[in-house]
Amino acid sequence: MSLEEEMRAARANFSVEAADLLVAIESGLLELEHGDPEQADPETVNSIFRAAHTVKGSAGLFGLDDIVAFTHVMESVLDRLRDGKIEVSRELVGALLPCTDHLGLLINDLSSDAEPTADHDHGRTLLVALQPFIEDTPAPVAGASTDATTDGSGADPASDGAGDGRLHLSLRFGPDLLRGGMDPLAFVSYLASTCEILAVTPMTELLPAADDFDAESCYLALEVTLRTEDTPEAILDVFEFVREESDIRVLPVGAGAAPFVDLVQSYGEHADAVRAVLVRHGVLDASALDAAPGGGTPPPDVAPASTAAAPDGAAAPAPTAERRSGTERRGGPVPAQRGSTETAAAQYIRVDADRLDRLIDAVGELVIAGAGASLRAALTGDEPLETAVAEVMRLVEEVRDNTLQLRMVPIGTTFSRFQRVVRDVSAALDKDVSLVISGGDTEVDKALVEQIGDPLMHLVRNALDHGIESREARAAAGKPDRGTLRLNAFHDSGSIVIEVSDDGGGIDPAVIRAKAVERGLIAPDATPSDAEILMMIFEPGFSTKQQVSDLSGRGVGMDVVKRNVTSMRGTIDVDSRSGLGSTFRIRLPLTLAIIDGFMVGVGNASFVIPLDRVLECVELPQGGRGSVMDLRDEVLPYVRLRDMFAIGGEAPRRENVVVVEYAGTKTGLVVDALRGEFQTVIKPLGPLFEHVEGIGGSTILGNGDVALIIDVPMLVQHAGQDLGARAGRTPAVSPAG
Amino acid sequence: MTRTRSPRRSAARAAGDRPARLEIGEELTMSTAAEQAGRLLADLAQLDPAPQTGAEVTLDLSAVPELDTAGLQILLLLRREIVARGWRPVLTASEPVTQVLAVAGLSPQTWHEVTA
Repeated sequence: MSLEEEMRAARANFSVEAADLLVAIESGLLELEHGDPEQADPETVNSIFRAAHTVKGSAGLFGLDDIVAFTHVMESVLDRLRDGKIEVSRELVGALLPCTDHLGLLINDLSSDAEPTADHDHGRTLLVALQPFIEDTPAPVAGASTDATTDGSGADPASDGAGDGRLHLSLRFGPDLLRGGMDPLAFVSYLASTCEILAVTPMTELLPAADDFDAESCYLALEVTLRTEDTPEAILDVFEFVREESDIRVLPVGAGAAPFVDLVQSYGEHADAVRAVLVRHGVLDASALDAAPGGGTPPPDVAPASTAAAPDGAAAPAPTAERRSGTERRGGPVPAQRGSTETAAAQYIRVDADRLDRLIDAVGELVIAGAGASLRAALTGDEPLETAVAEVMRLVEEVRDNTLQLRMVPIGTTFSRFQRVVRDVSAALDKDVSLVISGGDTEVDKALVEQIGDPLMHLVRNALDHGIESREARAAAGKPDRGTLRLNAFHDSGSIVIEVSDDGGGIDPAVIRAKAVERGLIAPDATPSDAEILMMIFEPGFSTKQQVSDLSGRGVGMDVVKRNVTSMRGTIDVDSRSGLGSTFRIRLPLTLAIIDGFMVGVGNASFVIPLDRVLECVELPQGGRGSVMDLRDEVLPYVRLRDMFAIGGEAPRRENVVVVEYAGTKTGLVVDALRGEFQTVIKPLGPLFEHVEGIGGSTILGNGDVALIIDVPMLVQHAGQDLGARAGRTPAVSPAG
Repeated sequence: MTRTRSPRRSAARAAGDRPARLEIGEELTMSTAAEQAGRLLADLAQLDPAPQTGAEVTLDLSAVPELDTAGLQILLLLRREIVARGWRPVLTASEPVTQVLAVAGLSPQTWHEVTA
């Protein structure tokens, strides 16, 4: 791999990781906002800070100056939050959240060749909004980057390295830097290319005795004096990535002796050596070092700018002292963070989704081939062979299950994204809504997770906009001010069910009915059930809200949601109680790839019914020619697959009924022969057959024949409609979907 | 780690009135640091016959193509050891080494000026 390719790969990696960190920042901020502001969890604040800090540090490695500068300001605010200088407030979170969005755009732009989407003017506006949270700081931590990115703040004289333009750098590099692949000298080389280096002295005193010398530990300490137009903060940023484990100090020369006294003292037994170096560098004269033991009084030659910035003389050395203590503080949480990333690396590996898909595809073929081998083996009547094949099949099934498991991800991550949506949308609507998430660890196929985002988004927005009433309406109805939106997920007989419910006003069937009549969807004198009426909101172009709002009701209606869900082989239905709220329920298959099927035969054709839908098999009672039968005193509507798919030939004398269930509705499928359980890989039908109702896909049998996979929900619906039509529009079962 | 030994990296000799020399013939970087440090310290301890007090001991880096922090601190350690034995440290350096030394405020010309 060429260096260029490596860099590109590393940058791509950075984008991915930074995106993850941004998600962490966002959810952390939301968590803070939801919590008691008085008792903001320090760990949450810390983790947000660390995430921002890591983004900044990594961006610095790639020289992504705009990201570094932007994140720096955010980090400054978070640092102050961490120090308790500012408190968690809606305003603070409200100012920081758009910053994470902007940062997301900046990072996104890295990985795409398209026109940049991030608007830098917008970024500046966002940073200006952060200023109130930084402004009263005595230590202008953000000076360096706000200088470039915001108006005015750079004028803060205290951040301009008050002094004579010289800076003294005391660099004691951390012992593990070399092992970490860093070359500390490179930092100094870099500085030499941008600044005028006046003097450098390596502090050889810190080298251990020859016997204790570990050639792979870093003992390098350098005292560097340079002249630069950059601020101390900008210089400090050069060492961004090693700062945590090193003692890096950037001290303005001529702006007070206290930091130097502190520096000398920090050298402990080698204090004299460093003092001599400082004097030799002309940074301070020996008397000045002695004259300021307390560190309080700056020497008389303090630059006027610094005095002006700090009315009380003691504040003049504060910038450096403050910054350094900041550095030391940061030393604390970072090892912990590194530890956690390492654990995370041990637990997860990132796998290219394509590779995973290829694996699943191959396993699918294996299952088919295995079924074929199994069939052949059964024909030979060779018992040991059959046993061996059965064992292979058992293992194949295990491999299949484990492989499919690889694609399963908890739906919680998808859910938690909606925290932000709920926050923003409810704020825009001036409603107070809390989002309650349950069943977040319910696992679902990754492909579905990706596709479910849009429909869920619409449902959530819809619930916020149309579902939950205004504050006044809630008060009038005697409900608590704060509305509740729930996202719930659970597994139910081979499906995953996702519920979006609100405690709002519910859907009034009368309104829907009136609307449906108005749109000509139903005849004015029709008397559909409430359940049927509610399902009408999924009809195209159906919006009940009189006022078209900014959020929903833009013509992208529930019909789109339904179409999306249907395309995932899922269904959607709605429960609503007037005044109490509504629940939208999406049912999706767990996976799209492989199913356990039950094979049946009709004439010469084979069909596969997903096994998780099959309840039982019974013989069709003789003589009944209608479309319902009596199943233990229960009315069971049934469909003849022979009629349904227009298969010719005579039905055998004894026909069988496979009883299937979907969403609480039972239906019988009449077939000629029952051929038993069969594991199968779903192959999509070509585009030509995409719209054939009742068929969900195809599969290849062990003997090479093609079997069609029955789309049970569709058939159940069909049976229900037939029955409904027969019973004069008062269906005994309410069809789902 | 086994590395093929370059012929130039022969052990130091201080035979007769020739000045004592420690030669380094390959890069002095993180990848060679552990091995080189051990060897050079051992060579230094075995200078035979031991130079007299005040005699020059030369670190010959004229064939070293690359130096980094790990290498630099070995040089600094060697210099301190040489000074501690009462000898005068001398350094000859290739152009790349000279450049790296300059970054750390050092040079072959002033190698003997040890402050501590």
